[in-house]
Amino acid sequence: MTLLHEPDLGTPAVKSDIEVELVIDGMPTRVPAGTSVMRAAALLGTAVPKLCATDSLEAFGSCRLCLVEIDGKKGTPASCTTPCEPGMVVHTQTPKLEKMRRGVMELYISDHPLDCLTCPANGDCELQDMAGVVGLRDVRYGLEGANHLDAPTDDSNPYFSFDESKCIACSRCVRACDEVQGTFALTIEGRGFDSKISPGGTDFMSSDCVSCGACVQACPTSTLQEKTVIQIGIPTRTVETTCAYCGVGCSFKAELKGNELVRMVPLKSGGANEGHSCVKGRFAWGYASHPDRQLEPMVRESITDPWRKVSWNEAITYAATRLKDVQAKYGQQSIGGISSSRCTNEEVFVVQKMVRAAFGNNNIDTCARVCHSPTGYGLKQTFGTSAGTQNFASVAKADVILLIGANPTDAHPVFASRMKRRLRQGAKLIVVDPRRIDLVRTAHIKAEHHLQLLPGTNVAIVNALAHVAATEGLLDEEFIQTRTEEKAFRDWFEFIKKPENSPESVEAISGVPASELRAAARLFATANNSAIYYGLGVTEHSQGSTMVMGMANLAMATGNIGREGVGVNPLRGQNNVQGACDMGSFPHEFSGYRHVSDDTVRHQFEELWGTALQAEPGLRIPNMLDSAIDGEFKGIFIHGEDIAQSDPNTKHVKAALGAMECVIVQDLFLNETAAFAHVFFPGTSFLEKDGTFTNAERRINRVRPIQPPKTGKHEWEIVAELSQALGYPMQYGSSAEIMDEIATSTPTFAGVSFAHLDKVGSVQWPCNEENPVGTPTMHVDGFVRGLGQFMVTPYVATEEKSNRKFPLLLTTGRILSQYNVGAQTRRTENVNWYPEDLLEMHESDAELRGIVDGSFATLSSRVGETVMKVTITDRVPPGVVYSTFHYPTSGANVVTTDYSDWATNCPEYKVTAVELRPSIKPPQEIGMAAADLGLELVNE
Amino acid sequence: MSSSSDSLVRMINQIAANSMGAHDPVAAVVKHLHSFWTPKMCSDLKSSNLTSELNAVAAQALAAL
Amino acid sequence: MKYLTWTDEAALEVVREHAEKPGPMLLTLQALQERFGYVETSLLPSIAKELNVSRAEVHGVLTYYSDFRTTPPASRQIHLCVAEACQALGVRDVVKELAAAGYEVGERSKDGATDVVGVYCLGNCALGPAALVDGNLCGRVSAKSLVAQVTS
Repeated sequence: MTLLHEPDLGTPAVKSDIEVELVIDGMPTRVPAGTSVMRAAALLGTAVPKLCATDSLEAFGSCRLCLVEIDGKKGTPASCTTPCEPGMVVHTQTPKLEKMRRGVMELYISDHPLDCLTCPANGDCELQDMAGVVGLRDVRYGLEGANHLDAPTDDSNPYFSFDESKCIACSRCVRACDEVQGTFALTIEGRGFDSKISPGGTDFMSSDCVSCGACVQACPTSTLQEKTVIQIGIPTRTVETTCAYCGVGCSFKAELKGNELVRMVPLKSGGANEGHSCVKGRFAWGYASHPDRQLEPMVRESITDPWRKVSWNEAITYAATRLKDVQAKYGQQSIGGISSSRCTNEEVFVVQKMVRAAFGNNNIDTCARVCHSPTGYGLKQTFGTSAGTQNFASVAKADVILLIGANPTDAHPVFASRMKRRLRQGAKLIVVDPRRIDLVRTAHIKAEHHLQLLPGTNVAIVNALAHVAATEGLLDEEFIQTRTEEKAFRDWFEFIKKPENSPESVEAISGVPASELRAAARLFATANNSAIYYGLGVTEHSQGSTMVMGMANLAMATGNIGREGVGVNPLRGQNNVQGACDMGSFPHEFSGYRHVSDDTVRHQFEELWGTALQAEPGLRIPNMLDSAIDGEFKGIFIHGEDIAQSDPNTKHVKAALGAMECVIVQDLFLNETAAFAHVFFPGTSFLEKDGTFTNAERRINRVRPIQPPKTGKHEWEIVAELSQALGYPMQYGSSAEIMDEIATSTPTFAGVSFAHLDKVGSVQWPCNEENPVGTPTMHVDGFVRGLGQFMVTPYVATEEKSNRKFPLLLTTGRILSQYNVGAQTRRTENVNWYPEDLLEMHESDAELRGIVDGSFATLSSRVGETVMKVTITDRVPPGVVYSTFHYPTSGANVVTTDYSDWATNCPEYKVTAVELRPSIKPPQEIGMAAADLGLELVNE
Repeated sequence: MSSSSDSLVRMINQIAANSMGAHDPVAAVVKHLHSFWTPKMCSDLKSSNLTSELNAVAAQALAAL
Repeated sequence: MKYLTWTDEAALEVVREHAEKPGPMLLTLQALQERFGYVETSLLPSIAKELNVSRAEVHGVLTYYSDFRTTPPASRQIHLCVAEACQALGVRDVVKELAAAGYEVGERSKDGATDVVGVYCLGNCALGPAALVDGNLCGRVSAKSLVAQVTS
């Protein structure tokens, strides 16, 4: 319960098969060749004084504090930039060094405010520490000469301040921005005594800064300081936990004073993020204590009634009675549930258990339905398991990266930083995206190929890439022969060779020049390690599943599976979308992706849960909504999801919700969906949860509470009590017990327990007897299904086509500072970066319609219309428009249709035929957001 | 005619269109329906008056259920 | 020295001429200054984009070298060496006399027509005090000779 100080060894670890022996301060030691003297000393427990060095950054050698003496060498080299050599005899503490270091320190302090006692970093300042370490007792140079004491403070960033007067110009912030984040937003301005840190001649907010906080973390003084630390003070204890935003799943140290969260600092030992973070994870946690958060359960007879705050007991009894009434009236199949990818594995597991055991049907689905369900389907068909193949670190060994339908710098920023680092080292990038995402060209990154395809033509593109490999003799014959099913390969080979899959044919469909396709295919197929990374631009299509299989085909055909640096890797949207799928949230599968019709598995659960279970699949979300409109599906438990904003064709969703007789919403806020609810259970934020999240690399991370639930109940307790009230006994003493049940019942989780995770930090499933510390790379010696299976993947055009009435294609996405429907990020200072949704449009399309930059326009499709602010940009080609969906007022999903992936019904968010016309009214005046309506009712 | 039946027709036609690459497309569609559709969805579609809107493979698959 | 009037379009053309060369940053900034006499900072984001670097990196280089200007120059330029060798040969007196004549080193002259810049060594130590007048190297300069040159 104390503050965790992770050791800083000064310079990064070096990997080498060769070891060198040397002696430091009389102590013999062995380190990998290339290790700095500073790090070797630190590994021995000797901290050489330092200011500009930190082990997340390459050595810089500027502060002149880490000088050492080496026998037989002249002078006093900096230990951070001096690599260990065999036989070296190093002295880190000598009278000469002490005197020099004191002299250097004296110069630093001669131009530094002497306000340590009132400084926000008092007690957490390396300059202060080093002054103590070198024994500085006197500063002979006064402050009357030139100095920087009156330098201004830049407070423009909402989360941290930049107090130039305290800067020692060590460049750690500049290097963190370059090396760790890869944004290059900072520089040293001027030179000599005038040198100062600058975000490019402007303030932080107007600069290229993405507010990831790497500079703040790297700063050894209080120059770059979290505003919460300035306001609250230095934290006193640490709780290690996991971020609840995207699927990267960064490990954090929640640093607290009592129960008050002071700051989030990324954990260096975190497997997913290795000490890095983005603006959301590090700073955007204020929503957890936002006044909009609901902390008491509420019920109402009808959705037109005002909410009534009630006790937990009353709320749970009321909910159970209503659900039972619905089932009595309309049958056992008339209710269902939706689990949340934002919640823990344990919470998700009990929700699906409640549906299967207490509701007595398989009508359980999850929000993965609308994002990565095609990943589950496609990878299961081809490889045998519904998950990505690599860990994130694997990208550091990729030579060619094929990035399809993903925008990592916005949606998976911490992984993007890893990817950018590898690209700066020389790996080649191929981007497949209708929109020019930042990675196509950004500081020090330039994609080799940008295949700017027409939305909806992914499958044609991936087939063309494979066609080139197959017809130009670029297949990995050995891999194909030894690792894949022969017959399936032969079928695929015959299919892919067909002229319809040639780049020349596909050019006509996709708009991508054949020569560019051929060049990209050759690059991918001939590299040592080629890796595929993809996002919702792959899955959210009518052929999402086909595309996933197409990518798996390409990876197998070129032998890019089963080692580091390769693979097929989904970038998952939500923190626990992998986990929610693993936990049996799909209507046809128990945990571990085992079909409900599998008698052995089902009998195992029947025995474990003491009740009969159904052998046929239940309804998916869109089927639930359809049958609600038909009057057959009447009750739903919605766990932490806002389907009225996030799901396509809002009008249809709202009509379905409105037709139900019992809607139960469990959430932090009265969201859009809650406007249709009869029961509201207040949920817990990630800061109150005790459980696990599973990230996109199958890594099971612990989520630990920093405080008890503000609502008085853990979410799994609510579910257990509701089950109980429905007549199905469900009792757990803690969430650890739920994980134990998961481990008992799910082979891939057999070795997982809270105790094990607390010991090893995190594991990547499968984690069992064979793989006690997990499986970073999958399918190494064989596929989970044995031999890999090629699938024939013909391109079938979507039915959603542009026409004369709706001539433009709308595709959707998100931006760095906001997250999904924005329920959290809109309730933080992140709104400073993105205060409203924007629709991107090409100049030529805008001109044609008389729409000007920054004006409002009515966006219409065949299912609905809304108003959005337009920004004119050449990021999108003519004919394609792009919008975000972070604000309920703009309602981007009012226009998206109910077309979906053929195999999984994942909505086709990425292709909607639309038209735009100028509008004079901003969106707010057109219709009040349902959430606002809900709040109003509470206040009445 | 219901909202569901319309959707079901669209879904099965789409499944069939995307199963044409399989060795036995009809069998592939049947397998898909068994794996992912509720029994009621299958029977609703069968008893709906929309079966004439099914493509050939979809119609055969539905008949084979 | 005659400079072209800065326009973003013309400047970007100069940037593009150099963008594909190896190590293009200094070449580009020098070319801009040669052509226009200075580099307009509002163009930094566009220069950065063309060179595929960040705005901050361009800013860092631009501010590191004191020779780069970010405002239009006066029509005439004096770069007076104020380093040790020229000090030994009396440049301190030249500085004083220039100031008295309305030509303060480090500032624009009182008549607004000349920028007077102190520099450190022009490699002409044998003929100190040395100066560049509109880029032409002169030796054994005096305040009088310098003023005469820029007012001729």
